[in-house]
Amino acid sequence: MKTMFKGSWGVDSNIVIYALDRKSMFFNKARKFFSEVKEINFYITQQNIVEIEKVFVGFYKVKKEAVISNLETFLSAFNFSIISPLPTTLSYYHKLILSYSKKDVFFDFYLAATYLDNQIDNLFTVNTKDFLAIKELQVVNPFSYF
Amino acid sequence: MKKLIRTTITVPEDIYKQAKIKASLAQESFSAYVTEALYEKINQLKNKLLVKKVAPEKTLGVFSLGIKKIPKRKNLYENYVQRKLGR
Repeated sequence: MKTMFKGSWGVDSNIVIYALDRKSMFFNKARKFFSEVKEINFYITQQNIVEIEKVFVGFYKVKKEAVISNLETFLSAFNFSIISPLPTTLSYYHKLILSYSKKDVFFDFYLAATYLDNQIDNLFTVNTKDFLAIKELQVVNPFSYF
Repeated sequence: MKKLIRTTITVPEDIYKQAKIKASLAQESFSAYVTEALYEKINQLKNKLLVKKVAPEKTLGVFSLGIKKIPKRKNLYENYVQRKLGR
């Protein structure tokens, strides 16, 4: 396992949310994953950070200050690089949504385009189905290995 | 002074022409313009948070909420968009 995951990987919001909540259904798997995988450069988009904050503050009523502080500390501790949409990401995103027949994929595909446009073509996510249509992106649910 | 290298790259003609024009408008050499663009691109990937370092394992499980299911991304945004559109 340790040798299987290497290089640059994007991390979806759900992975981080489960890792931060010790009573979440995937916490033990998330803890194992982040403890054992050492040869990965983690990347996360600004959109993901907003989504994580929305879930904790909007749905679970955690104080904004606590969410921001703990999230920033987590991202820093695991040496995440934060990436943003580039000026070219919009055309990448349009190319993606026009290439695939799936409807109603706007937000997932914009996220995928942001990673791909930043040369990150691997993504850890629990919802692999949401991205399977995009052949340029390798999606893996890390919890299925732990 | 940093060591400079000379290299050959292949780029689409329209990108090349646009870059030449932009460099000229900015009164920069083409090399300086391309160097700056590459520098920006590289540093975008290196954007790290500047917060106090904590042992990674101590940053896990900081909340105790019992999250079972996370709303789909589509729902996170669509609820917001619907509210903003007054629907």
